[in-house]
Amino acid sequence: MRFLKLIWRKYTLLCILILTSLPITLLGWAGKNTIYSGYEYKPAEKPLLALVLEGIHDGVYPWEMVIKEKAEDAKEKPAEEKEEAAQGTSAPEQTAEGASSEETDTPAESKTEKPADTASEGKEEKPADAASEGKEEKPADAAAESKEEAKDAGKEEAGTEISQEADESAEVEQIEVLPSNAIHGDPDKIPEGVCNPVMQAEDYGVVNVAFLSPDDTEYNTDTEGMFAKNGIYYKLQPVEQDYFKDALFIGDSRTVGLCEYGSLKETAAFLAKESINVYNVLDKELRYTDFDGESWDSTVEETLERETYGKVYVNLGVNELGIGTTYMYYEKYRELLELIRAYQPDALIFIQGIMHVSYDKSSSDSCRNNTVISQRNYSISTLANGRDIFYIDMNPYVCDEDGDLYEDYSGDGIHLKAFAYEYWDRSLLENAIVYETAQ
Amino acid sequence: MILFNSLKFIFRFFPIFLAVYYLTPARFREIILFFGSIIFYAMGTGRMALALIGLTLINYFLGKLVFSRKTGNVKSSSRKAFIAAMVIDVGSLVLFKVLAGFTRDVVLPLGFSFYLFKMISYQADLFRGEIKRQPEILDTVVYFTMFTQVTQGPIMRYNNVGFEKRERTVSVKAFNDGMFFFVLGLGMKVLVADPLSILWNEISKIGYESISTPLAWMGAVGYSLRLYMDFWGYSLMAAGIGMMLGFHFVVNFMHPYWAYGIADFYRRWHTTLGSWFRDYVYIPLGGSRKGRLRTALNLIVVWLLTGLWHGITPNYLIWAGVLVLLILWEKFVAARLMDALPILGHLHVWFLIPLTWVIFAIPDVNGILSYFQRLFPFFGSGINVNRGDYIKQMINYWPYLGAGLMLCTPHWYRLIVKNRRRMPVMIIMAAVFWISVYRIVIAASNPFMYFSF
Repeated sequence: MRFLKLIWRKYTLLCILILTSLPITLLGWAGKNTIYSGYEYKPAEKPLLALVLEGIHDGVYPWEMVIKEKAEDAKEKPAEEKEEAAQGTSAPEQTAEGASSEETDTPAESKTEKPADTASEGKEEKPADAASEGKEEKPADAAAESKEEAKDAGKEEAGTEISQEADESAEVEQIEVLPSNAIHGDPDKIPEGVCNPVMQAEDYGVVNVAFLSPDDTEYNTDTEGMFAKNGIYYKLQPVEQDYFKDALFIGDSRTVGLCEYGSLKETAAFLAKESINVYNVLDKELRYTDFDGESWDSTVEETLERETYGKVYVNLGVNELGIGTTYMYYEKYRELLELIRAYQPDALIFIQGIMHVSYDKSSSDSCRNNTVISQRNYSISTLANGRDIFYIDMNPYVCDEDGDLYEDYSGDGIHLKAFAYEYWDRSLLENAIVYETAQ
Repeated sequence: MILFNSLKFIFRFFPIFLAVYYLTPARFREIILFFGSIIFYAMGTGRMALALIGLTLINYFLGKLVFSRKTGNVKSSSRKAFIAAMVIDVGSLVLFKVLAGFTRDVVLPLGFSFYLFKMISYQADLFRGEIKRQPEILDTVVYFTMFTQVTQGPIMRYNNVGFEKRERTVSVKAFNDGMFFFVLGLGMKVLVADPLSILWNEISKIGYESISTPLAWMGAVGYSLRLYMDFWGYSLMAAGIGMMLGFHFVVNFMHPYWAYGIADFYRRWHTTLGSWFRDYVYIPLGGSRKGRLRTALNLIVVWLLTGLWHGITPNYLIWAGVLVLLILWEKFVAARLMDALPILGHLHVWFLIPLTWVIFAIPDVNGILSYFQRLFPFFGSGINVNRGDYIKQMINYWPYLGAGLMLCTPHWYRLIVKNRRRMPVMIIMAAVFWISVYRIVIAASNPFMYFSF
């Protein structure tokens, strides 16, 4: 005892550090196979206590160990769900470190669960209301109505059950009063000019295949629902700035930049935040900047519920380049679009292809490279139906012939410099959709 | 090589090393230190360990020849050996620098030149007879390879590392103080310097031509603080580790931002590098004893070398050139005025040093010009400037800027160092340690944390 006292008196700081690290290490050891099982533990590299700290960062607290045990005993569902959700958030980070494809399975499992809830919730409650409201309020202008119905025909997807008959009658009407610039074509293939082609890029052989999906992966093969093509298309065309006065841009830090430095900041509304990706976009509060420049924090669902937009632009994909596979990204993206459609039945949805990165990045980074980006862009481009969902690609405006972002346009190889946002603006202004009223 | 501010070092290498070191009888500890150091380098890049061992042995054997000089006349074999050692050491230094400048691959880790600096000083000290006793091989290799000095110095001298007395014992006080300085340095590096480096990254992301003038100044100050905290923090960590092993505390920074003028700043900034250049370049060239013109010329040589040593992009040369001009201006023009009005010297430091760091930070000349146009906007307006950009950055970075500015004054540092053995300070240090470890863990599990898009 006296010896310990002496040690304490002599080496106080050392004792404090050792005494504090012991309980944390014990917690890490205790939870290693339960609540921290999603984290990588390499004994040679990092101490057990790192698991606890990582957990705290992801909102997995040590006391959840106890809750979990209780939950298992009593088979209490909520606690388990919470636990799983927590694992879900941690797992993608693990893959970001370049985990094997084996490990990437975990996020897929836990991920499908949560979003499905939110999506179905939205489907059940919202869309029906919104749709009916919209119809009631709008003037019985023939053109407007037919437009609506035309779109409706393709987008009952929202989950509202439309009877077979109603569906058919809608289709009949739609063919009669389509906007004059509608093109009729092959339902299997979107004609040229309706969407932007996905820009290809040079492959520098550094890609980590854990972030890709096999080349023969089939993405959207829907023949019905909101993503199906039905043979009616509209072509992209140039517009003026005021086209965006009912547009909402949803995205990550790149969209933050567009809001701060793009010319559309005075026209459009923005909902964006740094580090947002398709996996967390619905869980977090983003910064909303309204049409009049006022701004506040808001979630995606709050925003979509509060206001009606004519166009919704989505730009997500750079933060999740090191998370999961292309197919997982595609699925999440699809769910997000479903949610947007549920709240905004009449909006045009624009899928913006992920902007490429510079040569320096693309030739050295195993996940943030243009090979992964091109594959992911291809996957989301299949969600476009050419009727009310479009794929647009800004890359030709900012990339060289190898598909690399011009070095001069970017300070970090990933974001546009302030002056270069005008190229993004231009790509938006030159690739818009207008339904021209039929005479 | 592993970084001091990594989990691998803090929780694996160092505790194990310390335990082994102290369980070994004092007279064998140098062997432990040598093998520990080699493991330390080999854990990162094996290449570095090999190059280091090779150069160490060459220098030891050449050093033996250099030492063979008797008092009075210089033996020609000693001179030849000295020249050979210089050719090898300086040659490798130049080679690594040039390779690092031209290839995209990192040939050798950043800190390698510090070893060569040590080797050069060792040979010069031997040649000049400043090392009195024929060094033993173990002392020499330990001196060269000691892991307590990595990427950023301090550059220790053979004489003042304490190799004179053989069996090194560590006092309880020194051990505790070493630990205190390690934690303090860790906090500076991880909690202040690292966040501030993101601010600089934000500014380059926007593009220098598009930042508002307040943000440009914030960036200049932020970058200066970041460099200081990074460098000083790392030096303190190294010094602390040294103390825990029984070496003297090596001073590398003496509150440079409290200096009276630019010349004084560089006497206090990275002093081991500064005094190395003084003792092995400036004074051998004649120092300031051969008239004004020669002094100016010697200063230019020293700064040219300092600039080139940092890198071979034009900004380092401009940086060094500007500093020479400022130092000459102080020395020959403003000296009397500055003596009369010490605040003038302070103002020099606070106003001009951040501007010189901006030059240091931006590799291309056009970038430097754009940045200065934003700092002094009367030379033209920026492109697509968002006038309110600094507000957003201020909201994010004021705590780090504030902490950095506080540590620029000697007062806070002295206060905390003076009370380092008191309980409240120890509790604060424990908190600093854990918050730092937390940040390191998060950064390690998510390498993109600092650059989340």
